Amino acid sequence: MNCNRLRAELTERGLGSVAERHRDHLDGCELCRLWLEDRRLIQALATPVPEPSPGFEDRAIRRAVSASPRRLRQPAAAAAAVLALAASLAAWLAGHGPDRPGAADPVLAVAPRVINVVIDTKDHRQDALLTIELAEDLELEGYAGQHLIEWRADLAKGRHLLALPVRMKTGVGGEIRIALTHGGSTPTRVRIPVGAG
Amino acid sequence: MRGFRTSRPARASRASRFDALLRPHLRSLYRVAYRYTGKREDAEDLVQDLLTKLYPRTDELESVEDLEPWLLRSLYNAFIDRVRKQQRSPRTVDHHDAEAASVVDVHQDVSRMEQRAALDSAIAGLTPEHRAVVMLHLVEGYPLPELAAMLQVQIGTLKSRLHRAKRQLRAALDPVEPNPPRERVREHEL
Repeated sequence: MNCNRLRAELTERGLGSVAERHRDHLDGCELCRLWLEDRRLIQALATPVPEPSPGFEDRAIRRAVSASPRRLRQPAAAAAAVLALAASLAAWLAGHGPDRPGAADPVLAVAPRVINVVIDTKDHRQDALLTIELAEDLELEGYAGQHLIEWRADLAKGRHLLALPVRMKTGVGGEIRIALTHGGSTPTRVRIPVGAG
Repeated sequence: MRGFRTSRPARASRASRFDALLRPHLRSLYRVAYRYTGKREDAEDLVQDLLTKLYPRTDELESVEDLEPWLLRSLYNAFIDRVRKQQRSPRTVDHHDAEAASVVDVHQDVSRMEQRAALDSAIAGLTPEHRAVVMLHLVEGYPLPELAAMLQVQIGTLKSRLHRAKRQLRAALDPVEPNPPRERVREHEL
């Protein structure tokens, strides 16, 4: 029995199948003893990796996007007495004027517009749940076909700007309903009409 | 002509670009995160933390030539940070997922389960730097030179960490006896 043969046999038959002839070699070969201990260690460490929970990829990306609201640089206009969700609708395309796409123009009808939602919190809100419901004709860019989207985020005290790239599928438009919940509190809601009018 | 009609194609949103960049790497990030943490929920949390930190840097990510090693290095740093924070607020470490443990333990006898527990305890006792080199090199098979470049750690440092970590972990397993029981039997018979 030499080193190569011992390692080949134990690799093929399993590390637990140490026979007398292997023992004879291992007694006098420290390198093979270390090799066997290494193999056993690796085998013990290499436990199966379970599948991530269902929807992990979608959820991870959504949360990363929603948890990174752009902080407004300007100070809050007024101190909020309670958690306040203020939404303002400003339809424009990046770098262009405040135009609205019309149903009559199919090219314009599919162009995304950015809906800016300002979230103003009076204190840190850990694990706040933001729910966005979109009318049938609306969808968020990157979330095609999804009309109910939920994001969880830790919101620091202050004002946050959530920019939603909204796309009208046919130009009919509809309503976006946004709710912000924290803990067991009553949701703060806002409705934003998005339409061709 | 309305203002937003333009010959220049509109750039995809940051969310879309981030999704396109990161999604292909999420499984391997999760796998390595699981090797680091030993628990599915902790692995998912670790990847989530990383993504949350990376999203504002989407533009920078687009300029990275080979993204996977870059992401794995970021994951490694995030893991180190996470363990450091946890060490400031100690808690019990339960290394292996119930699902994985059941796969391993279902046909094992008590002594092997005890050995498993000893190994888990030894893994939990490793520093995050030592655990990372053990899991990435020994288990996931990354060559040391590749790891050195990926983690931006000297290869000599990695070898030293690996040596020390293996010594700690081996202590949790039964050693390969240089003197087998049959020798003792022969002596007894004499």
